[in-house]
Amino acid sequence: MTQATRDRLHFALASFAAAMLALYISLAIGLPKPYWAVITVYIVSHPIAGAVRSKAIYRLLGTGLGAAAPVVLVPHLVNAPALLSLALALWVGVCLAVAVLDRSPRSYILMLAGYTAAIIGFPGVLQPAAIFDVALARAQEIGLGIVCATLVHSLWFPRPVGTVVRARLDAWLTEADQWALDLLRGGSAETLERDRSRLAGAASEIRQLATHLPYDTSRLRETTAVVQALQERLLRLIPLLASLSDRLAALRALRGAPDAETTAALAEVADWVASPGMDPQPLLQRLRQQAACVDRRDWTGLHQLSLLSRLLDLVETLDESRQLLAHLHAPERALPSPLAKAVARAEERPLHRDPGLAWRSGGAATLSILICCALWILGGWSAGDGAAVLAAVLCCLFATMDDPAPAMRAFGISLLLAVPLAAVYLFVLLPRVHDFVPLALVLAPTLVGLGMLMVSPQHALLSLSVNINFINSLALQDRLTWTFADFLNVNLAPFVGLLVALSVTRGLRSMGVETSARRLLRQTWDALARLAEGRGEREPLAFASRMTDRLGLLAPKLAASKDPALAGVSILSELRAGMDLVALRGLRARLSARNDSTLEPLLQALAAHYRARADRQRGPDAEADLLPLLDRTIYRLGTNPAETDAREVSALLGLRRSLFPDTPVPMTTQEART
Amino acid sequence: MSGETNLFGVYLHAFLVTAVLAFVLTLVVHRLLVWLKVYRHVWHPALFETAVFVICWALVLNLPEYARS
Repeated sequence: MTQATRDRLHFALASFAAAMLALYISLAIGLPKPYWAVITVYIVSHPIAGAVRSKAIYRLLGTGLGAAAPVVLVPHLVNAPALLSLALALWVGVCLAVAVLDRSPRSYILMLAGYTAAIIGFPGVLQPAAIFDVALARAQEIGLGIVCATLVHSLWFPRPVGTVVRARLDAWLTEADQWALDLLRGGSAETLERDRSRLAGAASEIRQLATHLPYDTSRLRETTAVVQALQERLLRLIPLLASLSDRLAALRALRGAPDAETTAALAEVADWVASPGMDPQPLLQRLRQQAACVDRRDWTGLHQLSLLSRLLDLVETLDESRQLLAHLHAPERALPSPLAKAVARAEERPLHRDPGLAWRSGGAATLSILICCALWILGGWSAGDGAAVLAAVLCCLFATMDDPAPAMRAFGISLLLAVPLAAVYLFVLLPRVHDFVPLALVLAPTLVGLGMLMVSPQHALLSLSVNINFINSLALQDRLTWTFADFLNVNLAPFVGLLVALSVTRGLRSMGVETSARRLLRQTWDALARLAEGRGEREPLAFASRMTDRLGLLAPKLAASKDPALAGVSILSELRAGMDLVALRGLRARLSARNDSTLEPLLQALAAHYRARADRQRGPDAEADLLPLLDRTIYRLGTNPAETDAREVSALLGLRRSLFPDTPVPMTTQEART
Repeated sequence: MSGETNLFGVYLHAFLVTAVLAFVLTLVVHRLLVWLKVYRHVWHPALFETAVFVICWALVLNLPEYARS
């Protein structure tokens, strides 16, 4: 048996054990619908124990909130079913919209609150007097499922998230080192850029994983702040390496080959990168000296200064990352004090959010539920509440996808697969079973088999849906007898809910890869324009975090799109421009009035430029004005060592390179003056 | 220790109430142990925590007995 198979079997058995524990307890204490506990076990289970635990806490809170909503709503509106449906549909829609807006695992709270309310509320419409008991029973069943899953997954040889995160961080930094070495030792970096933007995606993934860290089963839980600090370094490294690559290319374009001093500096830094554990202080000292001696009067000098500034940042950031990583591997060794202070200050950074998309997701959920309710109440179809419930659940479960329609279709297929399977169980096998142990044995082959498939990413969605639908249509009630007509009527409702949700989603919410990529790009440019206007994020790392997250989302979409208009977009260049704008805004705070009046028009022109790109109209007039303005500013500020340091000169040059990569610089800085 | 507890007019099973109390107590103990860096010497933190919870639950359940004696 290979390791992968062993992991799968382990997960499947643990989930099955948790499911049977939940089933046994809920049958023993006489909960009305024991199968809810079993379904919950399978929804919460995840191969990584930390993820089960973090989801568990958020889900418990969400279930409580979701159970409270119908208890408040139903008795007040029971005489007006249409109004009640509207209220529940709006509740689900608003909860879902807020949940989609917040992309962290915390969003489970509201997502669960949304569809739990639908699950409890709609069937409760017909028996409003019992709504309190129903809500309490459902909350207990779901809570029991969550507790059982958490207990079994964290006790039975848990796979901690800490070691997974650490391995990912290791791999990430190794790849970043390789990128730096390629650059410093003169590989052609531009061809690799698309490849490298994958690192942004990997950083986002690490981020998502690390959110489970505070709930981990391993000792690494205590190092959450260190991981956070390390992630900040990763966020800085991506634009840093990209702009280093760009500055090297610029210097080559200017002079053919870099001069001896620069070449020596590059080789020195490369040696340092290649030999981990070497003290960076002497190297940093030399680079700083070299930067102080650069002749700032011509373009070559300015480019050299910019390159040196990037090298300094690179060495510092890489060194800090390495120390933090070493600390993760050996937590008992203390960090040096400046870094330890940075760790103490580390905080969570914001993610990209898309309010338009979030409200559309919420709107789609509300509309689908209302259509189902119309069929149910106006059409007088007794099992129609099942359709409304499923529409709500489906809209919530797949809301974060670009296009939820294929996933919903897969869910429909799984329904088709699950219903006959459940029929075999209900009409052939279960009538012969009269005890708990034989029941568990009869269920074992199906549940363990599906559980094994749930681990592999390409089968996870389908097998999880088959599993949920199987248990759902099995409806493991205490009475194990069903007539065929009941079975058919109850199982028809989900298909109606599915069809409604699918058609509403396709009309209102689905977007293709290209549309979604263009939307993300527009938001990127909008963020850049706001930054130039001085309205965006104040904190550079907050900006970098949001931007890197966006780029991580964008990279796979750009790779998949066939739209030629998107082919030329370099997302790393946009990220670089953003970081340069952040640096310029820091500069403005301490410029003298005369020089501030130089920078101000430039920032306005930049804002106008990005605004125009975000609004999809590229005015050639503005472009023509921007370049001389930029050159003039670089000349005025760059040749003035009293007021600008190397990093800010680098930021100005960087903006020129991001906006006009192919326009050669004027021969001397004097020309730029005119 | 049996029956139900009346909480603002809602009758809850006594186990639920004592379990929540024990859970809160466990959280406090957990914070204390993290602060004392005890977890460095623990092989299976999750199992350890579950054990702490069971001990706390037993304490809460037997509290009336201790109070009487």
